Amino acid sequence: MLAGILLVLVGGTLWWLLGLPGRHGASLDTAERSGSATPGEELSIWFASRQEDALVSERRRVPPGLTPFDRAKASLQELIAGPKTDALPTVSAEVKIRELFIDDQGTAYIDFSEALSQTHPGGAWAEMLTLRSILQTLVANVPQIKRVQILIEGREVETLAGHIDIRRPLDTTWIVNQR
Amino acid sequence: MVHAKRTSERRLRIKGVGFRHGRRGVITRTSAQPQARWGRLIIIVAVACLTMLEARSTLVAQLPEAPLPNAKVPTVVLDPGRGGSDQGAQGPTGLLEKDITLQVATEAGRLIEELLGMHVVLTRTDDSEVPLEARAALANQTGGDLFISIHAGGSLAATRREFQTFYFDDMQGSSPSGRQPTNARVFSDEGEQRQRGARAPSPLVLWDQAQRDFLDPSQTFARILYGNLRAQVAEEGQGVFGLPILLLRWVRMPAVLLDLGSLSDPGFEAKLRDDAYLQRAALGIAQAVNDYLALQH
Repeated sequence: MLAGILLVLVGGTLWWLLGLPGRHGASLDTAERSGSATPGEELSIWFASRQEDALVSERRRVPPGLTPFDRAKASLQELIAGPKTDALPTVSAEVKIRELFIDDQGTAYIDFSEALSQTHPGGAWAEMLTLRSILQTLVANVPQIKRVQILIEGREVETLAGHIDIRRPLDTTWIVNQR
Repeated sequence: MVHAKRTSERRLRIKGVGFRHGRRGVITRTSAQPQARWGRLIIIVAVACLTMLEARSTLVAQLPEAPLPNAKVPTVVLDPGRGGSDQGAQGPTGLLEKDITLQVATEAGRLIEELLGMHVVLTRTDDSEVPLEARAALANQTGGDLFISIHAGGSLAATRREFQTFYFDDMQGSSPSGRQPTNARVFSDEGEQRQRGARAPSPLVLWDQAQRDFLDPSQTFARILYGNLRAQVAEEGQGVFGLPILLLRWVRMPAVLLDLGSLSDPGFEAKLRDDAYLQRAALGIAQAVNDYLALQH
């Protein structure tokens, strides 16, 4: 009996001191919803400019605390979904992300569906814009990613549409050296 | 023919010596003393040797001189992009990249041969599908002096994009050789001594690094081609760019890729249907070849 009373008292005290999810969590949620800042974190998604002479970024919001994997996937999904301004999409909306993996060396392996190459309009310049938009979107939003290896239907391919060599990972110097 | 005749004459003279030698030898056997016989033999051998040396030096002098490197007729490799089931970009009314590239390459080849007197090799002459590796291999086997891949690609939107020229740039740092190749294949470098641009001869060249020794001349030629295209087709063009283009990576000579413009644009597609426009583009290519090779002399 005494042990039961003690257990209830100790438990109640702990519940009051530390709080349970239904209590302080509710007030936190309310504070976030009513706060001046919008919830979540920003992603910068890179599309082609209207003149196809540069990449331009658009902002997207995602929930806070995403893992690098989730941020990478969310970034690519936003890239595939396309721009909301007058910028040009660099990847067809038909493209699917089959797999995504980030190794401990900072290489992101992105396995796209074959629509990535099949729906591409072709041209060396357009290929460059597509590849750079993928690379820049991932590197800008996931600090762990240093380079990107593009796969199509699970395999390494020579080019996206007949021009740019993508047999090996594209790294950040690819962006820096871009003229 | 002349060489063969003169060689025959020399052989006749040498036979004449042998005849005299044989005649004297017959006399010696019947009348000379041993010491005199040895003396005559030495004289005869000496005369025979001198005569043969003289004959040899005369022959060497008559051989045609080895052709000087500058006297070689340049070979230009033209690569009509796409082909076969690989149709490439398609215009709004159905014009295909593979047909445009073949038409321009064929016409440019004709101009280069007829006006400039150079050899031209086309990587395809009909609607056949040729893999990128086969195109590079054919170019390398010819030991060509220039490689021009001709394309008319699409664009992300149906917007106008004029011509561009590209040279190889690995985009992986300051030096393409800094990257390790994905394979260890090598090709024999038949055209090693034929290169007119900057070259650092090496006995074996990794397939993936074939273009490494030609980065500067390729960039120079890309700029010359761009300037000539601009003059011929009376358009500003989009510029000269370095990109890691796979086909150019494998070509062991100064190499560029010419994109005639965006086939996705209805207005530009109409222009590419105009034979006069394509003729001017072909003339621009031929003029660029002439200008570049003139710089190398």
